Amino acid sequence: MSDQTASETIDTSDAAPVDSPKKQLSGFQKTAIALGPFLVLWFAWWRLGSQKISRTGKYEGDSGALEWLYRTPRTWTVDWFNFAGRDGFASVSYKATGWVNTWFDHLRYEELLQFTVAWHLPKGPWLFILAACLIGTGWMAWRTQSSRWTAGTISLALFGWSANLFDFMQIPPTPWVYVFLVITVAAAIRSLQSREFKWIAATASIGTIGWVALQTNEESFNVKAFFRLVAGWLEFPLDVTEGLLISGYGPWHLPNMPWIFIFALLVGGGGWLAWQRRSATWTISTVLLSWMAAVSLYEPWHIPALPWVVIAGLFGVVGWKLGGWRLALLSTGFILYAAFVGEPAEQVGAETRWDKTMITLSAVLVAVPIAAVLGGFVGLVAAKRRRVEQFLIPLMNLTQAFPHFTFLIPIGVFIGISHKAGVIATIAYAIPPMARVTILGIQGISKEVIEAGIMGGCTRRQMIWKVELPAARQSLLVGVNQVVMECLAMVVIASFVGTAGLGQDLLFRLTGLHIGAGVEIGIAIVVMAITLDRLSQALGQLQPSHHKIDAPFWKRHPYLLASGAVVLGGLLAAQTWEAAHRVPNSWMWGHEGFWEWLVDKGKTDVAWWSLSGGRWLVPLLGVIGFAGWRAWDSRSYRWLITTVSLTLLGWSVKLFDFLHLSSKPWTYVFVACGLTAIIYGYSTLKKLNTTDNEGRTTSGLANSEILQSLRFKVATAVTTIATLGWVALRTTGESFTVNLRDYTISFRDALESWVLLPMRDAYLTIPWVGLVILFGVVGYLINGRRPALLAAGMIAFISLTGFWWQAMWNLYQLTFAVVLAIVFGVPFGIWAATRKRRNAVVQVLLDFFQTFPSFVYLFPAIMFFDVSETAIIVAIVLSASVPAIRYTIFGIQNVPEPLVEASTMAGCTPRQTLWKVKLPMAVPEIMLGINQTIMFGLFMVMIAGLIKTTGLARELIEAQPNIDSGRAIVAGIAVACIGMASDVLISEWADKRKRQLGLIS
Amino acid sequence: MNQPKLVCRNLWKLYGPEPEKFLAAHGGNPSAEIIKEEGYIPAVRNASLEVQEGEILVLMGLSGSGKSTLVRCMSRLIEPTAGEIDFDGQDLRAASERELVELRRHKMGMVFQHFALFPNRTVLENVAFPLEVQGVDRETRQTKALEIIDLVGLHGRGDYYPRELSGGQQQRVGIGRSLAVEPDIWFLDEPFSALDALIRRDMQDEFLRLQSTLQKTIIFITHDFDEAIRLADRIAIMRDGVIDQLGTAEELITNPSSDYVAAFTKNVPKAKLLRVRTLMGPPSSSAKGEVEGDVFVASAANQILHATAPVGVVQDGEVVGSITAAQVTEALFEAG
Repeated sequence: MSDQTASETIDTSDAAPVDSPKKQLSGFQKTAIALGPFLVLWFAWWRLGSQKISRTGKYEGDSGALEWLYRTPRTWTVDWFNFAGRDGFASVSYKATGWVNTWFDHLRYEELLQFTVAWHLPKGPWLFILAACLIGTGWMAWRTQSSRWTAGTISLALFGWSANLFDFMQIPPTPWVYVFLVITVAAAIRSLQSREFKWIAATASIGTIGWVALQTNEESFNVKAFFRLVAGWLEFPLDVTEGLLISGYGPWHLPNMPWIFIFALLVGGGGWLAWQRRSATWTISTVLLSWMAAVSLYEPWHIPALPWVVIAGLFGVVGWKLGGWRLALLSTGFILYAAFVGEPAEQVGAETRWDKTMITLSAVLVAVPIAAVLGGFVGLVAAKRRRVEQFLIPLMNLTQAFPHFTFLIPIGVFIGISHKAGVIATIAYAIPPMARVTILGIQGISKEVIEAGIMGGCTRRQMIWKVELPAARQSLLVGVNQVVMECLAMVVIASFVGTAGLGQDLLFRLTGLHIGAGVEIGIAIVVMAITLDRLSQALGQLQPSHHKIDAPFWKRHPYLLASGAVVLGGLLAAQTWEAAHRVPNSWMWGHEGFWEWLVDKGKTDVAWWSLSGGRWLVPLLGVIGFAGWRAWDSRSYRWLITTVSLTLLGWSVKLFDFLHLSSKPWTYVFVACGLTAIIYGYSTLKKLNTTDNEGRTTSGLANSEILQSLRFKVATAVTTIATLGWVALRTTGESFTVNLRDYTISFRDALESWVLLPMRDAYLTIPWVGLVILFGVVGYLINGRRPALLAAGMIAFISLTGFWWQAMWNLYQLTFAVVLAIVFGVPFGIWAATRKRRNAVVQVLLDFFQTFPSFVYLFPAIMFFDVSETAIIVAIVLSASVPAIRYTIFGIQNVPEPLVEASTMAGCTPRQTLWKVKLPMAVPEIMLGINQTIMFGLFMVMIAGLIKTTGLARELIEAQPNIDSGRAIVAGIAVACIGMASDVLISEWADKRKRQLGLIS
Repeated sequence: MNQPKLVCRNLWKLYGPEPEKFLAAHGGNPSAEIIKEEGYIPAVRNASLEVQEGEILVLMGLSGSGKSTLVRCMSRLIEPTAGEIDFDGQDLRAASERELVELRRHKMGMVFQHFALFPNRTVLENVAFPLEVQGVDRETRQTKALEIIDLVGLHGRGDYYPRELSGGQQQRVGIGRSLAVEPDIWFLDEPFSALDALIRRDMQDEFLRLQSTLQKTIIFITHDFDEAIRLADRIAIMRDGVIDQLGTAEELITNPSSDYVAAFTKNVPKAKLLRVRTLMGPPSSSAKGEVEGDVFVASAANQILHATAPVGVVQDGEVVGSITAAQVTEALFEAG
């Protein structure tokens, strides 16, 4: 039986349906029902079919009568790619011609996107209709005073413009610009003054008309151009941030928008508000705005970017404000790392690591707010309308199960390959989690607070802005934190569609297998990820607190003053000293050589961990260390004895010979140490005995406890010194080298030939009918028809896509790695959850690991196992263990305290409490952890495609640069199906079980 | 008495599929059994009451008895299934959303059990919130809010955030916020239930003090009968969405309409609530001495219990009855 089926067994045996007590199936019966047909079918196919699958997964020979078991007959499948030419998938020269591909190729070649033809509407009637509609909506807007109708009118106007209906106007822009400008500004000021609807509407319509009239006859409209136009809007914020951080502001290439209008409106409005309210904030914003306007509209100016000193200082101030000096240190450290670490550029003017880091940073700084606002908006709408939510939740489940690569395909097709395309992909990827968090946050606001808002007399809009969004602030900021992390996770992958910066650099190094440089860039990304993560977390935890109204200015605004000082000081320093503006090449330091050396040493078979010692030295030292630590931690003599005997064992097989201690001087040292330990212990004992009369010591602990602890300490010291001394003095003799990599490589070879490859071959023979039945039955046993149909349907879909064997390949990697992750993670989580201190340490570590973008896990895997199947599995295990551990700890700590107390009072030993009370209660949560483990594993399988493509990852990644984008999309859906099928089963089961245990109602 | 401030007539709130249709199908008054059979959940059933201007009406009942729902129906936080609500002669159920917003901005105030303060706003901003949404300018609303902060006894705490205050202080902010618009009718939904017993006592005193100066029309929800008799002019006792009995504390004690009401009134100190007039018998010729009919039994008990003969009861100088020690002890110790 395979591992995968074994884990399924656990599911079913525990899922006792309480709702229907009439026919309770035993766990054994359920297992038999679920596994029986699957195993029979598998066996039938494996033994009876004349099928042979080669090592490469190539489909060979005559398949015989049972072929339909292995893959869906061609007549059944939707012919996505025209598999006719694809039977020997090893052949490279295949070109997909199925309808999905054809469709996408059409998109690519603009045949379908050129709606322009149809959109060149006959002017007369269409113009008439549009004008009628415009007048209608405009009139409605005026009459109902509703902003919705106004928005409708404006969009109609823009729509008409985009379809070239207004081309006949052809107003030459020069004088008209000023006319419109004046009128709009006047209207805007009026509207701000009176806050009446008519003036707001007037401003909007005059602005729109001005724009439409001036912009007509620019360019003909087509869908693709439209998408690119929208994408072009991103250029502006990207230019702003990049200009600020690296490139400085030269003449900008503003996208096609009436900037003069926009700037005039903004500056005018801001200035008026500043005047009206006497507000410092508005004054500052207006000054900044006019500066931006001047810079962007007046071409010859070039303003240099902020010097690195200023950026570092500003990051420090932000960190200080959000989380005290520690965070300040971390943020400044990040900038310093970016400024100083990295190979100096070879030519003058070439991009350095600093430039790349800043490009990535600016992409993140642009993507995060946009994704947060869009996701927040979607979430808000969904939280308000049940319908929208019902529609969105499954959609988001689907998109969140998509591997990262899937997001790139439509982007690549519609927007093309460019820096901003990658930013858009990042935004798209980060929207669903934000929306989800927003929904939870808005729905989680206490009902009373909402009622208080209504009773206060809020209109709907006031409710959203003044009550709901502020009240959900905490969870919204958690969402922002997630968005930050998602953005950084996409940084590397988005470079497939052309995002510049660190990610692109890393991608080139990784694909070129320059591990050293890769590690260095990876570290840079991780440092950035950790900094931004901690900053955004701190932002979420920030609580407002009051200060005295009459406090002096500097006390009320210390951060503002500090940033001012940093900016001024930094700019001054940069004026006089070039090095403060840009780090000179000679100051930069790269450590990629170190990593190269590390890897190369391993490769060239020179011992890179050249400790002399025995073949078993490393494992033995590990075991001794562990036993010693256990002895100290648990204060148990048993472990102490174990440690000592292990050491003696090591000595007896001459493992410590490399120490080469000549006995003479050391003898005295050891004897002295031992004597000191004994004397110290004895004197303390005596002191204790004298205070014994009072029964208590100053520390308030009972004497007996102190005595016990002391006795153990002394015993440990004496035994340790004695053992070490003896072992060290007795060792002599020869030495030899250890090469850790030898071990890992031979371990890898053994693992692959004995376990992985046979397992893969076995998985490749899994009949699709069998797996569909298995998922269906398990789903039915868990919770009736719905999960059964869902899970079975998704598995069936995979077989219909024709990617069956690829999916099975990934499935085998996934099961093996997930089982390993569970075997390591769950016991580790249990161990960590037993003590508070331990748990705190582990939580910090988990937080740390969770900030890593997943590709980071590839590095250690490659270092030890080269590019191989094993490396992929190791990377998956590394990344997927984190959720397994985290959920286990969470589950065990969530066991209600009274239950633990009750079991303790019933006389359970800690072990019995764990096995009989805590674990059964924690199992649902652990299962959810396993669910997450599977998801993380799936993502990792796909990301591992960066170094070695297997199964579906190959379809995904190979298709990226090729023309058959449809193939990648379908492969992405297939991956999502694997994830969602297991998600359906596990979360349904966990939900039901939690209900049974009374953990949720 | 002049026109009542707020009137509810035959108010219903049912949860379930298409409750209006169901209600109409059963003649607008289905029995509890039918409601249960058809799978509907009755929150409020056929509730009618009137609140006079300046009166404190207390809604009493165990949790789940529908008192919160009833109050939310009256303020239309929850849409009632059927029935009429008149507020100052205006039909509330017919009011449009815009009219409701106006009503809430100027005529209604509500205090919540768990305070429902906005965590992101200071005390001052919380109190000024209803004014802010009305569009009152900054200066005016701050002056007003500061006045109210003083009124509820939080002088100098205007810059604090809610989480920096104790529970009692937070509820003072809640009260202040609901008073900011000087409402005509004031809903208080178990305002003191989340507070400790001692603080609750303080807050009740504070509440009575405020009411003595403000003279609002008040609907007050509580599940604590002691609180109810301390504060109420009249008490309505609710059970399973129905108003069981509506009357003064004395009426509830002497004349409970059901065992449920009796169970509530069982443990109250009756001597402090019953008047001599309520317990007296007919005038007796052997009566010696006299007590005022309007005083509570507790203050006259000494005189009556020590008298050997019935004591005459006088009102406005006329003898209206007599009372014996036996009548007093019976009422105090057995009636419950």
